[in-house]
Amino acid sequence: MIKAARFELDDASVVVVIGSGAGGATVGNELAQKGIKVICLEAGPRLSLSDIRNDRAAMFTRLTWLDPRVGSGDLDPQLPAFLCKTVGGTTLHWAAVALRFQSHDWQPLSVYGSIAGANLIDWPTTHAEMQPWYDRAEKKMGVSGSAATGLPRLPGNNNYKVLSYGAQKVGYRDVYTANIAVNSRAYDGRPGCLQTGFCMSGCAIGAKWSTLYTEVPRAEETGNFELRSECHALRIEHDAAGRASAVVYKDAHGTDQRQRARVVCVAGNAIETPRLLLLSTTAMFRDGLANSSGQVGRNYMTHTSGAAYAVMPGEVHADRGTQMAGIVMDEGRHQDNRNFVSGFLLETLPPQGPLGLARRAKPGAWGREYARTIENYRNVAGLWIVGEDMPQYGNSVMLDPTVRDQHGLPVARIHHTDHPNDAAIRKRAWEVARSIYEAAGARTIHTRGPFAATHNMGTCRQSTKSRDGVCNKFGRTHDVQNLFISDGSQFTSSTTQNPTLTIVALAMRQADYIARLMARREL
Amino acid sequence: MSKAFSGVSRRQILAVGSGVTLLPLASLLEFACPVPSASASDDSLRLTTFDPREAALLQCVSRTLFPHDFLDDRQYMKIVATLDSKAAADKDVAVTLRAALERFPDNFAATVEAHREDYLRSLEGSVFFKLTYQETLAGLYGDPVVAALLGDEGSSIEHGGYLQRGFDDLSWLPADKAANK
Repeated sequence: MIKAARFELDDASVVVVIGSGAGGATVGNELAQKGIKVICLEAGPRLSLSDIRNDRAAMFTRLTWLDPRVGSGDLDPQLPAFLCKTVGGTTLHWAAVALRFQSHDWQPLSVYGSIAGANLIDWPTTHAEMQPWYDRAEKKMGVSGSAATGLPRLPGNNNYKVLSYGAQKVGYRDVYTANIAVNSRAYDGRPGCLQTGFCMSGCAIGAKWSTLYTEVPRAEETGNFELRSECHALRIEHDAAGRASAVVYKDAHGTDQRQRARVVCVAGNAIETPRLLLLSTTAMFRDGLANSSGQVGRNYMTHTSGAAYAVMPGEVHADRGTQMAGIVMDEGRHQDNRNFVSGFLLETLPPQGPLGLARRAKPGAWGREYARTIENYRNVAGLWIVGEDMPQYGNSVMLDPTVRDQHGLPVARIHHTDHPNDAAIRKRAWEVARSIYEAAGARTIHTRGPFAATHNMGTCRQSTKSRDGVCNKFGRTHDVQNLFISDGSQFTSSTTQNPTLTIVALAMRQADYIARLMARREL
Repeated sequence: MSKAFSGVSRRQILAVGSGVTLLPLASLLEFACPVPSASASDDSLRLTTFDPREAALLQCVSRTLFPHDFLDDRQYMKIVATLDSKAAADKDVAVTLRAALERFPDNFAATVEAHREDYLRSLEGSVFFKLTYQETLAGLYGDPVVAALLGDEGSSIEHGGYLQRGFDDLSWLPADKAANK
């Protein structure tokens, strides 16, 4: 039975976590398990498994953060950034690809060298120190294909079969069904995958890890954790000494509340996290909270992405089965002999119905020939490109000077353009995608550029020196000692890997760090 | 299972499913837009803003944007009905659409598809084009009936997913390289 705690607004001994996704719910649960009192503020509502249906349009509307935003550069003005507003955050939507960073990923500046236009630094975190945290994260999440869990890899669906056949035919060897935080058999009280499809609309049986039905209820069971859903953080306040002291939020009834705090962990995704710090400007923090570096909201990274959809000679039914259990890793390794640094992964991506195919295969296309591609929906195979996106100072999340949200606050103004390295990666990835599908007998191949994915990173990055970034290797901000960045905002680089596993591993390590500091009365 | 590169010919899919041989493309291109017939007898498609000429043109525009010969006119008329209600609710939409339709060539619906495509291409970027394009795309492929005809299998959870229902039933590739490593 859940015996969720209730804490008072003036209880200054609690850790206030903002956000209940991969970062927030994980750090919150880990703290609660250690006996630390936690209040988790979540802007979205709390759904249950029975609310999750195999209906892409309905679930998109239900899960997605659709508050107004302004996008510019190469972003889709309709949906400049994709994240979720619901208890569990983007872990409701994610496709559950759970990959560790490669060893070189922690040292992009040292390995790639200085690159014009790229704001590269090395992570203060090292490959070696993260390995035990990756083990723990994989066990928490039930990652299939992980040595730490011992869970076997998922079987490949039809879309994987096409990718795998074509990739191996052109000579790739590191091709498999990925490491996925989807149960390949029953694990941790959740069932094995039924190959339902619809992973990204929310997993209706809970075979995919989501904090909605793992971290949040586990934390509540400790009696140390209070979830306040439909509570939207408006600003973080500080005391005269410059320590975070409270979080002001709009509650479910539209009333402003002020929750006092001993520690504040911000995990609102790399869009809302920097926005909240920028909204928390005061006389002491004139450029936004924890922004003496000027890097808050800077270095916004997505992934260098894109997609390919191929009409194959036979039926694929690519929408059946685990959506992203299929990967080609070979091009993900950094090589010195290419016209770009870093690389890219290719991951299976189904068309997501005839509507998804029509919208995405060739945006804006119409007419007889394109209608024929859509008529061949059954025969379509698809993949997604995940390449490293260079951090650029000008790619950013700032406050819009004019547009306001429903609470009267400036909305996020998001800007992203490709670095030349990104463009070179995508061009090569398109060539590879074509060669793979041609090798498997494709009749028609459409390649296309990025659409909004839930990979938002880097707007409050980790850095060794306080002038280069916003937080240290534990996510603790350089400027405000009891303020932590607990989500993908703290990423120093984007790497070629999907971000969630690393967000979870970093959040677990952060909770351990916070608990140690609190035990020593240093927080 | 069909191994053919399966286009579908007019209305045949309703009778025989997906494994249909394609009509030669050239013959399809000869078709003019069919004369709309669905609206007159169907209350759900009764229009309040557009007159019969405008409705016929809009239906033809929709079909030219995403021509599927196996779909009957009613599917395209549903899109016209949606545009009609948007026009009824928003005067700017009504004015924009009617003004553009006023300038359409007299023989638009009667001409062959290639000519109709040429004309619509000249409108790309206009508000008229954006409205009709977006409504046709979303209205057509977002319609569960159309999606199902195109092969969308819908919700699977109530059937136990595809674990026992063909998530990996692809058999037209040599097995050795397609199997999981």
